[in-house]
This record gives sequence, C-alpha cells and structure tokens, in this order.
Amino acid sequence: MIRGYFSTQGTRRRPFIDAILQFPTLNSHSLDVKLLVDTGADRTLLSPLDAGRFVRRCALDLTTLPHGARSTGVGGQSATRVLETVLILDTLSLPILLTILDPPPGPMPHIPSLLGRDVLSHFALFVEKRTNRVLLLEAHEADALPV
Amino acid sequence: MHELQAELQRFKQDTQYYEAHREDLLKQYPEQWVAIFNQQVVGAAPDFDQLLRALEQSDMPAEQTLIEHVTYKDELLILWS
Repeated sequence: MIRGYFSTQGTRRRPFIDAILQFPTLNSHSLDVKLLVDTGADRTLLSPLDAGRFVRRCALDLTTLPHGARSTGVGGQSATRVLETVLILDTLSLPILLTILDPPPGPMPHIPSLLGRDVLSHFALFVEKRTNRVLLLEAHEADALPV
Repeated sequence: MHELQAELQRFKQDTQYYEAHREDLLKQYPEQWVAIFNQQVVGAAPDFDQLLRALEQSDMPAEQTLIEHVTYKDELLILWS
C-alpha cells in the first residue's frame, strides 16, 4: 500500500503522493516531487515549476527532448516534451514516459505536477477527505477488500 | 534503489513538516515561495526563480528540496492532461 496525504493550499485540501523521479538517460539524476492525484490526467505530468528545480542541476535543455502529445486542460492547450523516467513510490518502481509541460510565455502558472492514470491504473485508489486518507492499493490488497 | 527509498523517506518528512507548520509559515512568509530541506526552512523569496538562484548559491540541492508557495489566496484548479 502506498500512502499519500491531503495538502492544503489557500482554503483547499488536495490529495498528493510523494515520489522520486529517476531519469536513466540523464546519468540517473533524480527529482523529489509531490504529485497531485488526478484521475482526469491521462499521463503523469511534470509541471514547469518542478522541471525548473532539476534542469539547471543536470544542465538539461528541455528543448532537446522529443515532443509529446499536446496537453489539453481547461485553460487551453500546451506543448509538451517526454522523458523516460522511473517513478519510485515507496518500495515500488515503475518505468513511465514522463510528460513535461513546456513553460508557457509570461508568468509561471502555479500548476502542480500530476500523478495520472498511466500510473493510477496499476492500483486501486482510495481517497477519503474525512479521514485524510489517500491510498494506492496493490491488486492483492484490493482483492482482499470486502466490497 | 535502497538509497532512493531512503531519500524518499527524507522528502516525506519534509512534506509532513510543511503540513504541520503551514500556519506558522503563513505568518512568517505570507505570499512567498518557501524551500524546506531536512525539516528546516532553507530559503524564502517572493519569486520562484529568485528562490532557485538563492538555493543554487547556497549549494542546496533544489531537486531534493520541497518548494511551496505559502498563500492565503484561494486558487481553483481544474486540470487534466
């Protein structure tokens, strides 16, 4: 079982899970992130803010990465890049193709990084604000539930 | 792998520290970006890039540092990708 938490910003409490992203093609550099659990996101997404935390350290030029599919949200479409990544959640590690949102022109939006359905689909998701529980259950744990 | 799991546990303690001290941080650093590493505030600035530069100058590993925007403001997020 992977345990997340509710984090508060402003007056809102949102479900997050902490993770490490490791980049095998970048000398195994890694990045610690808190990911917003987003069942509406097709893919796990790295926000421009979180990308900014590691690009300087590993001297990465994001424009050298291959383009990904355009990302569509309520605010419109954005270009993306993709990067082979190993997502580490507690004792589990999953290879994913990480989508990195291109920084938009102008002020940087305060968008969090997202844990999308490419990862969530491996688990049963339990989210309950009342008890502050955000849980990812592995198949054998979900199968044992009396539901 | 063991090192990365240990690092994840360390980072989780930083996110727990932020949740536990959010009210105090709001009073001390309202509307600022705050950097937390090893359960300590290691930097704060009104601008995200300014904070990143400060972390770099003090040789703090930004990629392992929790950075939060400490705000009273309410922002509605409706996301997908």
